[in-house]
Amino acid sequence: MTFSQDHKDLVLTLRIIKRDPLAASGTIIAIAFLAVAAAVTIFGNSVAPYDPTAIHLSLAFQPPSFQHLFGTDNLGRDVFSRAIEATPVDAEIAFMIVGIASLFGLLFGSISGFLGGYVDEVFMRVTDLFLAFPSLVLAIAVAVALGPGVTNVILANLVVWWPVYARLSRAGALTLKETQYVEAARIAGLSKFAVLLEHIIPNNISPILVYGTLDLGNAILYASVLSYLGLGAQPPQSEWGRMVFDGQVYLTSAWWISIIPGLIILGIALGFNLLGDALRDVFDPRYRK
Amino acid sequence: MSDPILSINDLTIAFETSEGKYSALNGVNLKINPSEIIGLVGESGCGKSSLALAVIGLLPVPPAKVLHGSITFKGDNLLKLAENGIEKVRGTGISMVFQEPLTSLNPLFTVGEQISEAITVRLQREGSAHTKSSVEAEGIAWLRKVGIPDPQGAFHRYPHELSGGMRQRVMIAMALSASPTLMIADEPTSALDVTTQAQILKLVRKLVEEVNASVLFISHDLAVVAQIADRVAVMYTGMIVEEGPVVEVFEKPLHGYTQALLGSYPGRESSREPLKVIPGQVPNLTRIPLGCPFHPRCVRAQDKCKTVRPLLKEVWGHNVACALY
Amino acid sequence: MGILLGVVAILFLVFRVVIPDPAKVWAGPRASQQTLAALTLRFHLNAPLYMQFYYYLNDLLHGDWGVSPVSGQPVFQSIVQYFPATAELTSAALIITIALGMPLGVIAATHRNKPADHVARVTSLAGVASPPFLLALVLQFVFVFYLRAFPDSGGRISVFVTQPAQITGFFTIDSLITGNWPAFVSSLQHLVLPAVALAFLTLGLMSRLMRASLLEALASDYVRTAKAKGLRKYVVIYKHALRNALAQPITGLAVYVAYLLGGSVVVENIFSWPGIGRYAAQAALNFDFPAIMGTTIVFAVCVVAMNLVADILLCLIDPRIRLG
Repeated sequence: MTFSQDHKDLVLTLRIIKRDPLAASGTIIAIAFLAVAAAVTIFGNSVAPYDPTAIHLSLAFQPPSFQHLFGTDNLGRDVFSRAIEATPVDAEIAFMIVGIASLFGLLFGSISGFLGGYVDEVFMRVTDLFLAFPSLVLAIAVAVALGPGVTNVILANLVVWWPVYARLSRAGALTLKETQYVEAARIAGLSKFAVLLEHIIPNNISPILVYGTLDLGNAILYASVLSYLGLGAQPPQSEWGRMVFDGQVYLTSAWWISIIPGLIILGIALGFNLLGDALRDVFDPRYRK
Repeated sequence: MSDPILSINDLTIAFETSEGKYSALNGVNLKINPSEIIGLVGESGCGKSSLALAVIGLLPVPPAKVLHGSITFKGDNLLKLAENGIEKVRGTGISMVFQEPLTSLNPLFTVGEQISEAITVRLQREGSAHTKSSVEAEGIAWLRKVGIPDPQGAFHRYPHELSGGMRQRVMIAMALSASPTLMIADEPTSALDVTTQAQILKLVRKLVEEVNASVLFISHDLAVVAQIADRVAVMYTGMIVEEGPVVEVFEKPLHGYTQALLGSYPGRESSREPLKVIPGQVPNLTRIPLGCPFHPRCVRAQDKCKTVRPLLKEVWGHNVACALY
Repeated sequence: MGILLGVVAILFLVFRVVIPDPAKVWAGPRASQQTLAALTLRFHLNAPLYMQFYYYLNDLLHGDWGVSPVSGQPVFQSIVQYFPATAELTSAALIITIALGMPLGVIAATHRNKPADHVARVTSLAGVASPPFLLALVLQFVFVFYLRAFPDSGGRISVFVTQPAQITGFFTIDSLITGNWPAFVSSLQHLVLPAVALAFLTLGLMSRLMRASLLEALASDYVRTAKAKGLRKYVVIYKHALRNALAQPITGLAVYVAYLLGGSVVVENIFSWPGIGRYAAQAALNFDFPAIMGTTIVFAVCVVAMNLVADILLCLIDPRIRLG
């Protein structure tokens, strides 16, 4: 794609975001999420109003109030601060999963679609096999096998994440293969490898980017389920899914401990979904006013 | 001369798009008489299909907007009818055959089921009693009439099991079995090979006489129109620029565009000369030139052509929209 | 068939080859040296790869799926025991997905950009973006605790009611068949909330897909022809467009089952529903690898089976596809 085309798309995206309240809220949520994650990474826990690790048993089970926006948990820790502390963890997990999976899928799928024939057959069989699993369960299985920890959560999810990107890139490569400038490039004598590098892969990037944005939301959902099951970051590091699990026991007496982190996850996932939808409307060739 | 069955008066329709207002039809004036075949020719994008869809009420109305004009059919202004009013006109009043027979037939239903629908609509509106078998019998009869071999078998087949030519015959059968007063055919032969094309044209001529319908036959192909039409209307940038009996218009074209169209037609010049191409390009429909829309490309253009928009007027037996007459 | 083999092969590769130290994983984090040694022998971990694969397949087919270090029970037996509960819950959720999701999508498409459409889209969005535990917990909180509208005892049926005779394994169906009214009511009461919580995601997906699919069909050429024939609006929509629009949702069903199975891990745990999902959740919490492996295999088989069913359904509605 030429620079002017990208520029036009960007302008169109911004116009849409400005105009459509849903897209706007999505963008705001996504940016807020990233901002908080960055803030905590850089400045540490001082960003939060209270120390998330501080235990004050006397303050336990306070419902949400002005002093404690999300209330306090069973150990008297401020839930709001814990939620903030947890932000960069999920941000990191989500970006790593989507980033690596999309990169790998991009290469895998582009090569498969472009080369076609035997290679394509084999590659696609493998992809289909991975897609035959219920992805959440497989991710859990791998995470259990690897053991707890953030890195293992990322690895476990990568296993189930890449096939979709491979499929997407392959579809893109198949279409691009038939375009005139690829044909021209081949006639001009460009090697298959060069065509892949210069034409196929760069042009596959925008659909991947669009889907990836939407997908960040999914990644956060999966990461939260894994951490809910105890497979992610370990205590005392807080993580939203984990907070839900820990707070479950107190559901009837202190619902905010488990429900609010759940709502946060919903909110962030929603934000990325809306943003992704808006992006897709821009890039979808069938987009009409 | 009896009253025209369809009268389009000064029809102006625009599309609102993100790139601006796109004038699809600019003051179209056309009359269709009973039992006549009128051809509508023009290049792609001149508004022929928009006109057809407007008449049968299938223009997507949010992006499209009727700015001016009327379409009178049997005394009613079709543009003023509500959705169920127009529904009643479709099929038995005005029916349509589309260009792409494969995608225009529902792949999940048999040919028989689809033609039965058209017949049943007619019977219901007439108030006639009918049974499944009587409808089926009539359907098969129609399939035979349009020249489909083994009409009984075809009746029970699915669209994808038939060839392109067969499918188009089915579409014609569907359109005519409803006994319409006017049948609109939008490029019905463009997707077919030349031999099948000729067969279909002959078929349409014959059947239309039988059923006593009029046809609005739309095509970009002048030769096809010459074969089938009684009268022809030439369209350019959403307006009719010339209109009259087909032989006259083709032998003695008066409008610059018609002349250029006929001149660029292969076979009319000796094969040594290069194909004559009409200079310039069709204007962007969001920016139609003032005055006569064709003047930038017309070899005989004069100053007054730039400012005055000519209306259709009768000259030497047929109608022309040109300031030079 | 080939897919099944491939699935099994992938599992083998991932878990025996790629993961370091498989014996430790199988034995659990608290295993002794002896257990490790015994396992290494049993799974022939020192043998060449192709031999390992052979033993692996052999074990699988013979129902020897290992023993859970946590429960001490053979995995295969546990899974068989818990299977009907999950089947019932997943089927109920699937029914909700279809019965609510499809109409919602149809309404959204036919009332495009009007309030009904917006409501449908918001619901779908909420369903798609929700973590599986959220609605489950909220429903529990609101209906069980707050409103006391549903029973608290967890499980599939009240402890005060006799379980129906085991015919299909589905408490609801079995109690209906045997005329056991109290069992039917009780099992239904226990089924509703978890099924709704489980179905939330797929409901959202189905409604979106149905909407998109129907809109596509409504924009097609054959719908234009149907209108041109003078057919009435609702005939055009419900006879012509809808039939064609069903293809995508049917294909989607197989994927949705995969999502339902995944979600069951969380939902069953929250509602103490004695199914494979809860078994898997407990396994994850305790790092019980054999149990999780068994679950993965069984779920994968279910998804493959569901794909087959979807293919068959597609053949039935689309005459262009014939089994080949």
